[in-house]
Amino acid sequence: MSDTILDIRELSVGYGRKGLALDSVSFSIPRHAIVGLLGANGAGKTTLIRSITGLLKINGGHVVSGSVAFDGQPVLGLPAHKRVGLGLAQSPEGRMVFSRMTVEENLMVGAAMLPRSRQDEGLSSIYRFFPRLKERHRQIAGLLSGGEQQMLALGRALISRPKLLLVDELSLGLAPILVNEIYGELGRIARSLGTTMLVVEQNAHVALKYVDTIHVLDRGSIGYSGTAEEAAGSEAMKRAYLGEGQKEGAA
Amino acid sequence: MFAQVLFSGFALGSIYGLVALGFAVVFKATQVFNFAQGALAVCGAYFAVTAISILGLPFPLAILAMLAASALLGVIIHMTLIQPLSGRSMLAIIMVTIALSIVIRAVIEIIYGPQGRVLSTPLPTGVFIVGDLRMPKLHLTAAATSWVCMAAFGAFFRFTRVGLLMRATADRHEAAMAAGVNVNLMNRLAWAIGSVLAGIGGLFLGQLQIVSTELETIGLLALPAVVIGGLQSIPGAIVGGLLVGMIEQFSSSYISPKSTDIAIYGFLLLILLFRPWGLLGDQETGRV
Repeated sequence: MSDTILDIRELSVGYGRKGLALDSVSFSIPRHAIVGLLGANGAGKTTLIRSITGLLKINGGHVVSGSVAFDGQPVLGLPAHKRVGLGLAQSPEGRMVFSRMTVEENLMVGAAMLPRSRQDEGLSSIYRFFPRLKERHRQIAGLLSGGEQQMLALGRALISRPKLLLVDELSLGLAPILVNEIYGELGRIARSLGTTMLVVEQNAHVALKYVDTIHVLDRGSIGYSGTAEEAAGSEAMKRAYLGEGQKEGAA
Repeated sequence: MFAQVLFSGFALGSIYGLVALGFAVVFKATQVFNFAQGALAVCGAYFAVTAISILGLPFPLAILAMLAASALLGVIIHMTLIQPLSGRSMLAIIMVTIALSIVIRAVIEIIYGPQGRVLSTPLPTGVFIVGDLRMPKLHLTAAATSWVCMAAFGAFFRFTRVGLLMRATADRHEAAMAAGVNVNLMNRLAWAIGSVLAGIGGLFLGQLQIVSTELETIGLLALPAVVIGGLQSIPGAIVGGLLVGMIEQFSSSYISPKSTDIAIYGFLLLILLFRPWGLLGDQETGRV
């Protein structure tokens, strides 16, 4: 078993006949790390996530060149559900819960790939991490608050015990105190389950507090890579990206 | 007479509800407004004719063959027509379903000839008489079977794992994909279910009359039924089917047999004017 869980090599992606949304992006994620992917709106973060999860095609995009390997296996040719089956889960941007179903039903969709004997165990572990979900387990998900929906989307992704969890724009539209609370919980989950996480954030200041290393996407290419400490200390990095990230995050 | 009309309305309405339920399952899963639902009912009736009268299979086996053929037809339609067009405009897909219904009709008339066929089954044919009320056993069987099917599919969606995943897919396609659901498989299954329900409806409609491509018009009563009940609502389809059956029988008996379509589509118009999301539909997502 190699130390790399996700390896992206010279990945280029386009939508229709427009120019490239991603231009030869390469980076890898070590096992058990928490990696941040930062960048302004339109920098290509969502495109990168879609390429990794397999939701690119239904959003009108296509891979032009390059490769993505998950746990040593090339995944670009696999449909989305097969990638989830390999242990590559995601909590999508905008939370996307099943709004007409109950909290528990939402979680059971995520647990559906587990053997029946492990489903209850999965459910109770999610309720341990997010007690709010247990309190509301019979409520219709569409009626939850934004923070609770975010917890639900995370719980739905985590219940199958993925090897890698992609967290897309967790902070979007949530109060800062709630964002900190949820990121704190995610860190505890990562440590207790050994889950590797790729955290996509527009709000760089929040992300730098919780990740080990960061990659910054800038107009479709990696513009900066380094540890969170280096990034926080780097004047060049701050000037180039964080100022922008902060404005976007506060907006 | 009132009780008699109420009985016929209920019996026929139950069949319409069944066909409408099939329509609603497909619409919820794949957002396809399937104008071929009536043609799928006709196919069910002809599958039954083929299995019973032409192949001479024993009745239970014939029914199984008819159900399997209907399910397979739904799967093939999804694979060859619906899935390749996914992401296209609703209008394009509607046109495809209209074309499909015309093609099905033509193919059936080429194979079986334009004249209708009698479907003879061992289903009970006598009449129960309670006071003034005459209840043909065939109507009772049709209504009972329809309700058993509706309850069974209700339980399937509510209590099984596959049912859960189908509801998740219908609720939010992309989220279901992100959560690891094989969305294509679920959609295919929805088409199989929609086609089977239409087929069972067609079997009974063919029993109550004769089997011909004219049954398509009756099968298409599923459309006003689902719009009246609420496009996004599964119980709405059943309620809408019952209402259409009642309106049809009451207008036929109390006004004129020629007035049924006016009454049904007049009522549909009222719904569209005053409650466009249907009786049991969701005001925000179910507007027609």
